[in-house]
Amino acid sequence: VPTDTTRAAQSRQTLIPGLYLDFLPRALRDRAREFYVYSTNFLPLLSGATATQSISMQGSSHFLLTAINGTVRTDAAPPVLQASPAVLIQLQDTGSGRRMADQPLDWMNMVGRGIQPGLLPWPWLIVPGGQVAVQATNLDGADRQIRVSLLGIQIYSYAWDL
Amino acid sequence: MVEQSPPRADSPRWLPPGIGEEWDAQQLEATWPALLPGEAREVRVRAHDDADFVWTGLSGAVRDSATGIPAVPRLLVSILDETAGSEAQSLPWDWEALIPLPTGGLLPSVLPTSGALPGWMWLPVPRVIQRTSPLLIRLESLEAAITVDVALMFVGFGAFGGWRT
Repeated sequence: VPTDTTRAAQSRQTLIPGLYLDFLPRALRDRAREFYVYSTNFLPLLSGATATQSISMQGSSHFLLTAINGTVRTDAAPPVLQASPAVLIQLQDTGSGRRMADQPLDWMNMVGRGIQPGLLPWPWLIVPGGQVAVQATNLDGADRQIRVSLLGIQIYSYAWDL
Repeated sequence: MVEQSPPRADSPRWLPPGIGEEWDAQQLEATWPALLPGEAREVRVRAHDDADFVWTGLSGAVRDSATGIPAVPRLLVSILDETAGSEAQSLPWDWEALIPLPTGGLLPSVLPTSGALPGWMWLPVPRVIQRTSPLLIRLESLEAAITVDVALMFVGFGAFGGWRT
């Protein structure tokens, strides 16, 4: 006869496994987790300029980055979405020093949108309180409004429990 | 002890444990009629009183108020779970960066409620909104001249029965 404890364990095995579980270190697999979006903006990024914005992650949770989405718009009213932005982008976890790519990538090769999310083939795990530097270069002949959103999962320090 | 039944076949298998005993499709809709150019407006929707709301997806429709024709969504969005005090984002995000469009011709009332369908933003893991909790959604229009009607649909599952511990 299953005890309450074994029922709880069975439920945990049944319900917790799911998307992205395999990407998590074992120690984080039973932690409570929740959808979250970190964003940063370049409003505007001048023509020909390179700039870096730093995103500070919450100190109470790991962040599993699963997708990079964003928009590039004209710096006008109304701002018009650019279908093929001439922008380079690079991400760096400044805590560990690791970069996402060996060199800045063309926006079109890296960043998705709602209609076609920029899902990562393997997510990035950022430690609590970590910082991600987003570097953008505007190769266009005009100033651009750039918004970058990092979609993912907050993984809290406490466990999901019954 | 109430034994926990397995999720229904159409429930997300990553449903957090301890959330409900029965699940069924549920939606919350927020609307912004006649959102003026440059206007920022907050709207509250409240989770139903009989179930925790397991929010799994998001979609919406934007129309030109004058013509009713689907409009380009030039909108910034931010969402706050007022009971938990937790926001779903660090900064307001660009509608088009997260929500698939065009879905302007698809009215929320006829949107399907389960399955991975195009036109929806699917969360990699759900957010659980406790029953009766208000969600505060702020839209900011980046339009220069057009007034728009906006509907934002939160889709997910109502988790009935047991309470979260």
